[in-house]
Amino acid sequence: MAQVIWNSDIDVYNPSVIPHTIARNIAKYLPIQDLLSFARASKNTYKAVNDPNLWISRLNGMGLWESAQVPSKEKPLRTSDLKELDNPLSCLDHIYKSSKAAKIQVLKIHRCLNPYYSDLLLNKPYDRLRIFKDFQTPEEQAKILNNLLVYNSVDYIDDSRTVAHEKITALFEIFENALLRELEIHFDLEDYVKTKRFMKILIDLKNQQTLIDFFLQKSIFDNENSELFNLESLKVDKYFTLVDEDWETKHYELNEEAFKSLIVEVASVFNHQSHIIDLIFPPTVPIMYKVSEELVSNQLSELLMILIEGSKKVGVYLTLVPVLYEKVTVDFVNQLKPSENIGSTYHHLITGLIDMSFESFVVDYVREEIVYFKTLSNDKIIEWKESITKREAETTQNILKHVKTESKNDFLTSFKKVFTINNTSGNNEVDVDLKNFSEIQAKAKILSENIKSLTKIFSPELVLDTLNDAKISLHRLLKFRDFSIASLKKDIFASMQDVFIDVMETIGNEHLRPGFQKGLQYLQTYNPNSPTYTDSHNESFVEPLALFFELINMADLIIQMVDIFYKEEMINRHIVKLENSILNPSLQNKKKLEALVDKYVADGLNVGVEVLVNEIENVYKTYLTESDYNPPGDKEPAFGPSEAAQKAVKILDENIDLLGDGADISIVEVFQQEIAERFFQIIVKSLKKSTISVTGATKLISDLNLYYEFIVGNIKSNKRLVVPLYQSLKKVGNIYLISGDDSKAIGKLVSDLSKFNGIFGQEEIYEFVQRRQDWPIIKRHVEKVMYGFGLGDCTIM
Amino acid sequence: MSNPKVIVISSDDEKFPVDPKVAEKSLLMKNMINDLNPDGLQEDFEIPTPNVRANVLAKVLEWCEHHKNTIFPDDDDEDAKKSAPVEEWDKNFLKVDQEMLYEIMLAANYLNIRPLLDAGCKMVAEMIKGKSPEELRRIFNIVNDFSPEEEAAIRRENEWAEDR
Repeated sequence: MAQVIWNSDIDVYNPSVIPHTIARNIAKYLPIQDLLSFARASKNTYKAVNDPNLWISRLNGMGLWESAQVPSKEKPLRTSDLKELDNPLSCLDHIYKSSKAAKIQVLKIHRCLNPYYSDLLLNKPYDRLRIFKDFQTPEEQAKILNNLLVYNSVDYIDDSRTVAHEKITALFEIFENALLRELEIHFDLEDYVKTKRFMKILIDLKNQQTLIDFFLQKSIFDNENSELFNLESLKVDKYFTLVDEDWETKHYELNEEAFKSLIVEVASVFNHQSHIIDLIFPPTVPIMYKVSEELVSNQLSELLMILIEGSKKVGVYLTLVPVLYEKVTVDFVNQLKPSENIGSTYHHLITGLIDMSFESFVVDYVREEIVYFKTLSNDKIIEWKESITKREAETTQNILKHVKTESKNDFLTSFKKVFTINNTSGNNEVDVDLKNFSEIQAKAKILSENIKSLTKIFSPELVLDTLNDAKISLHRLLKFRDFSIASLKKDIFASMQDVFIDVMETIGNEHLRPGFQKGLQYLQTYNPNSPTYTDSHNESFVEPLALFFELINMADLIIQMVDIFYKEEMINRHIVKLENSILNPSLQNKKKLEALVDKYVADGLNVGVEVLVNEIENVYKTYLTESDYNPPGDKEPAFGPSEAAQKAVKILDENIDLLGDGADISIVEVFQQEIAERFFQIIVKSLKKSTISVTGATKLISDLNLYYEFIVGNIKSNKRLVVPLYQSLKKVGNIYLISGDDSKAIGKLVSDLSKFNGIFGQEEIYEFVQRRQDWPIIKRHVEKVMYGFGLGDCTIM
Repeated sequence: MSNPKVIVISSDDEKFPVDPKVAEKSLLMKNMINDLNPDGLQEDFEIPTPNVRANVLAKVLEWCEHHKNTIFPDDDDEDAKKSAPVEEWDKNFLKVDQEMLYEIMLAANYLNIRPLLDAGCKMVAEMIKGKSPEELRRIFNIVNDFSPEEEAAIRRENEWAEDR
């Protein structure tokens, strides 16, 4: 079996002394006065008691060591430094963190406090206790009680510690109740100097919460002086004034005066409380904040709710909420006098509290505002649309009224009538001249009237109205821009973006898009060749085109208005934070709107250009005769342009500036360039169909000069692209002027492509030269010059 | 063979076989067992305690048996330990005559059983409250090892702090 062999030399057991470890261990649990006897029992006990750690642990037990002063290194501690420790009231307040002096400091504390402590343990009535005999003022009594409570914590004897602790706690309670009674008496007498005195003692005794409760009770819950505290009797009606009353609705406004005096009153409640608080509370007690919290989150919040509910009944809810918020966060807060109790953050804290109370109101309000705005703008658009439809219907009705009821098989007769009427009447103004129209004529009339009213499809006034409504909504929402609850603030800004996006969508989808579609539809249906649109109509054929351009100008105006609105309201007011970011939904939607207009402008221009080109082609078809460029042989060469060319240029002249000065310059450029190019093609086409004699060439050259002059004089930009086309046309004219006898010169001219500015290829030039009246005769000679030999020179070998 | 036992032997040669778990309440015995049996206890293991009488050792081992599953807090939190009252069982267990109590503490000190020593010291502290130095010496059964001069000096040293 394993065994430990004991070394008998080690004899730790000497029964005649207390081992040092045991002495030390016992000393840990001894009350201070017993330590003194214990020290005198034997050398080991004496050693144990004089261990500085023992005394440090006592100071620690009283919670004094950690916060003790560190003695300066130069001057060693002297007895005189510990003078304060001889006074029972101040003995705990001047402890040095010195292990050498730990014992003497504890003994001094003991000497001061133990007499009173032992006195407590005797079974005495409270009023005969030494503490009340030796200390009369409430401040001293508070202090000594506090000190005894600290001293109690190093009484390691369970029985006495428990008894003493209970007694001290009971004394505290009695004492504090007495103090509170005194406090209340003096507070009620408005003797704030005395109130402050008791307040201070009670705070030293750690009664902050009781004091806060006391003050809240006294100044808020029991206060019935102000309307703020008497919400049951609040008269909501006086805050809203009836401004207008008609038979079905009553219109109310906010009563500025009433709100003003309400704010003054609320501010005076705060200022009054703050004044008293600064008189009686030290800044260490956060009482003003508590009072403000109570006042804002209960009384004020309830008041706001009553007002808001009231506003709903009289239809000024959307106006009231932002105004109220501004009044409370700006007017009210500015009227607050500084509070020493809260200090410099006072206004900030109050605003924060108000925002918290306002949170739910704001959430509701923002939702209502958006719904309201969307409905409003939608309604206005719909109303506008209805008025358009109604007007068109009326026009149609007006015209159809005069249509004789004709059966379908009468179509031909009615068709004829169109001509007869057209021939007899020079004046077709609908409102003036309401004759009996045939059905088909009426339809044309309706179309033409509708085209006239194209300009009324867009309404800058309506857009302005919508933008104004948006502005009102935005300004109301903007009142919450500094809201201190971040998530809600984010929502508010998002809502403001929503308003703008809604404006963009409403204008785009409900106004511009259908308007343009209608305009385009009219434009496409419009056919200048239809029997109803003959010269005898007073309308110039391009009128629908001009009207459509006016539409474009108006759309442009609307876009500009939107742009100004965006810059002023969204950018300058910092609703949009990342101005150029793709994450900026407002900008995205604005661009979408602009793109929409651009697209319809392009579509409209295309249709317009087609119409114009058709018309010009018609002119050539109608007026350009065979004999124009190939007069019968005996005639003298005629000078001056042909009738067809004059008419074509006249039409162009009337339309080239259609877009007017208001239109976007780039649109004008594109439009003009397109027309110039298309016109050029028409000329080339008609040229390739004509037969031109040398005599007729003068007329042709006059025509080509006329085109050239017109283009140079009217095309405002992009001349570089357009003018060479017409220059080369002039050169083409030369081909026909050279006498057929000089076939060599002709051949030379047509083979030198550089003469035609490189606009035409060899093939085309060859086509042109073929149009010479004498081509069959000169062909051989010309080709010889062009190719080195004529076709007739070829022989099959 | 059943589980090996630790056999604690008193100064008067009485043997006390106990479970290792019980013996290990004494840090001294615990270290001894672990140091001499690094692979764990394989057979019975004798530990003599030549300065502990059989009746004292029996008492100490009774305490160890009772507390074999108790987990005591670390020594760190001195202040909490000081004001914590002695556990009721310990209080009754230590209701013995003064000499016995003192001997239990000496044994607990020697065997290094801190919780037992603390409880004992606390009991002693309560017991000697308000006693004079002479009474203390009688209680602890110790001799006055001060010279008369030393005694007078210490008395003077502390006089000022005594009750007024």
